[in-house]
Amino acid sequence: MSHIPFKKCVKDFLATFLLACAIFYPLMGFVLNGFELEIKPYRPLVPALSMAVIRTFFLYGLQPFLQNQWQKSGAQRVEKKEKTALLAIVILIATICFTLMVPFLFSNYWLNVGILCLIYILLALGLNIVVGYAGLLDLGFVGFYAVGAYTFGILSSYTGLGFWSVLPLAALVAAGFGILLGFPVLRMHGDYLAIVTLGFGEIIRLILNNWTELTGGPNGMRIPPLTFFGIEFTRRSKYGGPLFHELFSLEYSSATRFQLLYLVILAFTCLVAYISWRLPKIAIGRSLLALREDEIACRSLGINHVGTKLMAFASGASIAGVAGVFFGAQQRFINPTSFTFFESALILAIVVLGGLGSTVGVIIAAVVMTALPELLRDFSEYRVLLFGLLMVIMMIAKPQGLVRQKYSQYTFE
Amino acid sequence: MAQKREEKILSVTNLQVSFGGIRALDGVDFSILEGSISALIGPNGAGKTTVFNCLTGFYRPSGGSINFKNSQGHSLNLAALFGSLPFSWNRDQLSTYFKYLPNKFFGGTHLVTRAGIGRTFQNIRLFKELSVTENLLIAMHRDFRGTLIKGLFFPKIYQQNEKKQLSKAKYWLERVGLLSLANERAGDLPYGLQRKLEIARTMCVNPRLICLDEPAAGLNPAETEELSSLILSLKEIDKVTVLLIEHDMSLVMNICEQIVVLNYGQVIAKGTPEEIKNNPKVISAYLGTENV
Repeated sequence: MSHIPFKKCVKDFLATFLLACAIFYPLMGFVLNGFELEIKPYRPLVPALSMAVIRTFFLYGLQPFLQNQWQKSGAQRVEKKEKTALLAIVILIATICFTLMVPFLFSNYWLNVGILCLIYILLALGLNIVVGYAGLLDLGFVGFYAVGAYTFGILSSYTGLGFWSVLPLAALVAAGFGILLGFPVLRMHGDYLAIVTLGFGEIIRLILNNWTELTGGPNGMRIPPLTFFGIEFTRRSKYGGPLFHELFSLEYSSATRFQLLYLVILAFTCLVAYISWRLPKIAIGRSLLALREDEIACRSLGINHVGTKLMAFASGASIAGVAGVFFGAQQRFINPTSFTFFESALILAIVVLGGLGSTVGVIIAAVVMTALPELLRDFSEYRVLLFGLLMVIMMIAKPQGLVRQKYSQYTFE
Repeated sequence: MAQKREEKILSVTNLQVSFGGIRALDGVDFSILEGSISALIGPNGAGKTTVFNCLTGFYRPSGGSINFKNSQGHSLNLAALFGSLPFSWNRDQLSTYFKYLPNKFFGGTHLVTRAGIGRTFQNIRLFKELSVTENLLIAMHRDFRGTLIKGLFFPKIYQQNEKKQLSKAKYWLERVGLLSLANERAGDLPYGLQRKLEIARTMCVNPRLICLDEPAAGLNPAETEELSSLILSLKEIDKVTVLLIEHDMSLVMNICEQIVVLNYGQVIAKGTPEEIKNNPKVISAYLGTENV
């Protein structure tokens, strides 16, 4: 057990607190009441204080648990030391409890914010595989998101397929588009790759915008309401079938649909987060990391770089495709303006802020970047300014992102 | 002493590579005996690394052929791995032609390694952000085939399976003296150890021919000494054929059995260290001709 350096701890706490105050005071300290500007000096203290506590906890509180990883013998990975594991499990259970309770505690509005958060977590995790693990800078990631959403729109309006059957199909279609993008960029790196992917995202958006016969162009497409395996959530039955609230003898609430959607997305996000966390610890994920580090060395070690790259693109894209379906199901209306380059940039910003290749960091960053704009609705015009500020500060203070990706530790007998 | 009948593991015939108008290699011929240590030497720009890049599939030769004896004892034309075999109606060749045709478009460099030719690089190419052990495990990725589902959803079973690879990694870390640094970031290692790690990593892909590109570059004399004993042990313990490019002549003369000298893309001499030392052509290539 190592000693916690209290002096440094207090110093860091104060620094974080002051920085957080500097950010939150201008944003939350002033409330526009009619035409009067009210100053509320205590309001920003809560988020500032909690940020400082959380940061200090993550920096120092976990340290005793992370130490002495070296002592265990046996040729196996020192992944789950008992204490770290216990702590991780406690945090995990708390998070899961909270996220599970979100749909039943909060208003419809916050529930939708939660859904949006989860969608962005999915997108960020998908992009994290491409950019964070495989090191392929992708600026057109929103293209796959659009493909997923429009697959839902097109399939539902032309073939009448519902949410559940579209879900796997959209993943497949988006993966196909990922491979389609993958082939021409096989030999590209860095800037060139970024430009081509940027173009790819724009091409998809322009096609959706201009192929009016298929996609409705700028008028967008309607998405049918979500059903529970064909059981409607509406107050009155449209097709004469049983209704969800009647079937389960609940009181009718417009939120039920979103509650179910939230839980479905939550389950899927958990699955993706788990896979994304597990990936760098297994052989396939390691070859992705190797591809990021040095492609030539990869080839010289017998790794099929073509297959690995395409796999990275396809898996990232399929996650984005599923996120697109969720987006469609939530919005019930999609049009190309939802899939602009700004979205790609936002997702990339989330991944970079969270720390390239770090699952936990990316999730935290996605929640912050999606929830923050909603918290700051009153300041909507300054939101992008805040984003910029936050990013500049983050990149100066922690260029590796919130959580730095760690490599696995191994011990030998 | 009765010697085993010596067989060629690699034979390069009339190898030609040109970049635009420049002929980097112009009809290179040499062959390497199985289980030997050979060196490829020559002045700067002679085409040594180009030969390596052809052997390991990074360049496609514009002419000539490279034949490698694979683990089954068959002679394998490396051109086949790239799908650049000439088309013919011969039934056997036709099946190989179509088998490897996709590689023409999607690259087949990794297949050369899988066939048994490993290499290291002149400027070390480790996975710098990853740990030493991970570097070795990446090299063993072939042993992890079909473990995706197991790895993702059954970590316990996966760890059991991984033990075999970890013990192999441990073996190699011990061989190169890196066991105590197993969890260090590879980029943080000192230069000499990075060289050794790169060799260990290449050995983890089970090559039968290992091509070392200037392994002693940037090493001090003590490290060079260790390196030469490591190379000798590769030959003796692991029964690997070694081909190295090297400028350190004492290392080359000490451990090599056969030396091939290149200059301006052509082989100017082949033979034992003794023969090479006294070859006037080699001397003139390195030192220049005497003006008479």
